[in-house]
Amino acid sequence: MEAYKAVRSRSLAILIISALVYVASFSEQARAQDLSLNLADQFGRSIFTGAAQPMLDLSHSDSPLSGLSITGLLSNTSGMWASSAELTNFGRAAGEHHGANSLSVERNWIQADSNYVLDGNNKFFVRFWGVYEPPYPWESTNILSEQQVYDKSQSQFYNQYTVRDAFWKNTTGPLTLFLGRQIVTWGESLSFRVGDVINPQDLSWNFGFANLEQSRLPLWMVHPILNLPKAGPFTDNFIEGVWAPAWQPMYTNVDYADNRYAGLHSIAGSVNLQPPGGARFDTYPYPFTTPAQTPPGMQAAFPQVTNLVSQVQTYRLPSDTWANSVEGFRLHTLVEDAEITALYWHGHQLNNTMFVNGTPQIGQTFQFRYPELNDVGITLNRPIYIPVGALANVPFVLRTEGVWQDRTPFNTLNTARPSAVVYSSTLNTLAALDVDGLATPWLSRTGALTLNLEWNNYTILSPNKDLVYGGYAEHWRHNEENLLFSASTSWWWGAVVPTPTAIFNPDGNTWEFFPNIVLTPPWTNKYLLMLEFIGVLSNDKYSAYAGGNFKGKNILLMQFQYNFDLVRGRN
Amino acid sequence: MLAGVVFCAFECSARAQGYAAAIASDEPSIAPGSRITLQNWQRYKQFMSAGMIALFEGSHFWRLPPNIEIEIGPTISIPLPAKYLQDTARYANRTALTKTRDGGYVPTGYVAGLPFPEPQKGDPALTGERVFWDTYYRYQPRVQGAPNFSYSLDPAGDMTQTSESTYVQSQLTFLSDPAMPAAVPEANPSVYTAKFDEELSPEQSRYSTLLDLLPSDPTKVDELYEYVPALRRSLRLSQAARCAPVFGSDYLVDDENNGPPGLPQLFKVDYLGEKKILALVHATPAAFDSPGTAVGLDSRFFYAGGAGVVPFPKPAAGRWELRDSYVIALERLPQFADGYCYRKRVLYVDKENYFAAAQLDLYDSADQLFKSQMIISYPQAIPGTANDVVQSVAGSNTSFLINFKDKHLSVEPNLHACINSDCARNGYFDVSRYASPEGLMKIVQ
Repeated sequence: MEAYKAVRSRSLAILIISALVYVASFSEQARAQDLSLNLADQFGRSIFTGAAQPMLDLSHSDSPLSGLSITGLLSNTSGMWASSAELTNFGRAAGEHHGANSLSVERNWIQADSNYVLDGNNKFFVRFWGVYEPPYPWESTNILSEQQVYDKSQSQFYNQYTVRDAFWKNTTGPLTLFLGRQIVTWGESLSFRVGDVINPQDLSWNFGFANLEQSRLPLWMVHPILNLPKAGPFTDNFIEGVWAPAWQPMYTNVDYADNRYAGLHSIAGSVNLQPPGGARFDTYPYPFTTPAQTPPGMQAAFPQVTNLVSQVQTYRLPSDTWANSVEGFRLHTLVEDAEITALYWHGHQLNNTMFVNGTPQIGQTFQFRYPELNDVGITLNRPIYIPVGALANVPFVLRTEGVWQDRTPFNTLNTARPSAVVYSSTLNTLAALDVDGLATPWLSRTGALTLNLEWNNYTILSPNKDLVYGGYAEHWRHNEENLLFSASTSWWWGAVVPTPTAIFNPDGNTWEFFPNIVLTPPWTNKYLLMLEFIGVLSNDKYSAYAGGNFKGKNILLMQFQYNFDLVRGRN
Repeated sequence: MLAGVVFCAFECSARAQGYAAAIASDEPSIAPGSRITLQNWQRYKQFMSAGMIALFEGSHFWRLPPNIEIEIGPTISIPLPAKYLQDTARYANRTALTKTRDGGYVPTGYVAGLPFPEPQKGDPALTGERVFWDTYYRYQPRVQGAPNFSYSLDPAGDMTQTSESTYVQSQLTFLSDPAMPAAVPEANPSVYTAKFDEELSPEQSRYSTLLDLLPSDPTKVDELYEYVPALRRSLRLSQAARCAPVFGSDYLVDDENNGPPGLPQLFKVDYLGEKKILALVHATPAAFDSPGTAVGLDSRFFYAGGAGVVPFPKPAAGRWELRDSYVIALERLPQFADGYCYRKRVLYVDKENYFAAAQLDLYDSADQLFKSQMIISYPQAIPGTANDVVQSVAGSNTSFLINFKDKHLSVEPNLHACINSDCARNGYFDVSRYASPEGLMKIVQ
């Protein structure tokens, strides 16, 4: 693995140097073509002042490289725990130990987008990510168990250098085909995953709810969109398909200390990446896994386990076979003012479920699996216009979606189920109301007010009373409710943009707060600063669905972003 | 003080007399070769919009550079395209104005071309309406696209390029282009025009795209979609809030159509008369080669902007000319006026081609000058025609929106536009990509 990394690093360096040499050599041609290029001047202007001025503008040249654009950003996120001393006790009952150092995040990130326009019908996109995070003192003394000491190898866990998206887009007649590594998002929600069933998430470095976009993991896939003719009142019709193999290689940020993905790197990208056990973004652990560990009067999470032969948990990811491919399609139409889609998806669970392997007679172990599923869903949105009265100028938009899943796995306390898993169909729905860009001169003369309210309901259709959150002994509620509140406006022509956001779940009166304020200097849009608070309040620290098991992990963070524009081509 | 009196002399008398006295049609012309400066501008103010007068006076925070020179050239014809005129002759008699239940007017029976080629004929009370609807349906090509830039200039004098985007405008119905049907067969027939605007910078909003579908029924509100890169999909938006500021600029939602507001049936349109108006409509094409730098417009063609100083076009940007114009004023009908952003919108509509935004004045609820828009442009050839030209709204123009009240200014240099067949190599004819919600699934996946 190390040798492989070294080869890959060298190859990457050679590739970057080659590209720079090529671009530099082309700049000589560009100069010859009287592009009025003054690299030093452009460089200085680009680095220090004003907006995104490209270092090299090829957009007017006749070279094949005229379609190339390379832009990106450098970002530093520095964060501190709101109360690190309190967090030293986080998970202690379950055997975890943490340092009191208050550094919670120090993420350094570069994103570089290469867009290449070959012609109007063929375009290429590559997004590179490089991430460096130092070892965290809060994690350095973490001991999850004797087998899971947070050692030096895991301190490199968060670092990555990867091609995140890489695809070719071809348009031929009514068909547009995307081929390569992509993110495809369906559904209507801003923050809950309802119709958003395709891509897994990287939950190892941030709470997923705090940054849904950057947590997505692209998949290698074939992704066609076929335009369909109008049919009566149905306009803007198209059908979209996705087929992705189980082969989804991932080599960085999967080096868990417990070696859970040993031999699985070629398929590691097909499921959600969980934080390392006991790490900064891991959830509050339940202390009583088996009856042998459980004091009288308490409930073990897995009462079925009476002869645990090994603490080591194994992972059974969907293997690299044709049968484990995931696929689905979505139909889109517009009827009157309503945008409607219907989707079908066949795949596997993205989050793992803990199965008990073996029997008490021969010995039992735990295994994480990702069972197969089928999703059927429908989404609808439309603006709501109130013709007269005080609400006539209020820009309401209604968004709804619902997805039925045929076979969702749940852990159970029922000792008659030796695997500790039963299945039930589920219904995941969302109703949302937006006020989108309301003029509010009393609040801001230069910005509009946007409000979002989302109500997510997750219903387990089985009447089974023994279902518990995975790894916990707390019962699932058959109707889980989450409410999202968000508001945003801006002042001084977009220089100050506050966005208070919160999610509420009645279970334990759980609140997840993530308000932020983005400051962009009036004299430039080349850099900006975001200040954010991430906070979790809850009376139920074992509430896995509501997020109570993040209780107390409150972070104050500051994110600085610097944009760069290396090469500008035609678009 | 004197400037204030002069301004009020124009403003107050115009207000008192319904603006009619200030815009008599028989003013003398300006001799080509004349130069207007801060020293002699008052001799020519009869040819200026209220906004331009305010800039020369410097009474509303914004003023012109001290060494300002406006060079006057001959008036050069910018006729409407031949096919559009043919359609005008063929279909104009089918269009009539119909009064709505609320008291506004909408055209019925419109097919293509100018709905009212002789707007002064007919009921004099509806002259303004006829001019307005001619402006609303003025010629636009099937496809036009251009690189668009935005700058803002704040009260402290910070001028910044705030964004760059690719703008593509597709006309899908009521077309008057040679060898093209009146409506694009594969398009949604209820859409008149699709505006597609994809951000290229700054990086934090790169790929953000607005798709605005103007309905072919003008009484309906636009359908608006936004591709949000952070979501990797589009969001449905609403344009019910006509007065909401467009993020980071001085434009409100109702300002984004280069003259006509949305929901025009909610307005009454008064005809104020005719006026020769100064406009830069034959600008130097080289002025649209580059937007300028990160902190200012191209200094070869524009004066430097600063605190209170408008980065006005230099003489090198081209010679201004007098354009015969209709002047109309739009006010919301009383029952819809409460809470609306403007008391009045005064359009100076070019009599030859009905372009309305070369000069445009906006008044606040107290009837004070709020903002003025000025667009400089040059007419571009329409490919596939003999000698037809058009003032493209997508490109080959630079738009200034001067916000007197908030002491802020937005400038949008839009570079050379591709028109019709010139846009083919960019794929802009693809309706599913650039003129329907499907296209928003094809940006970054």
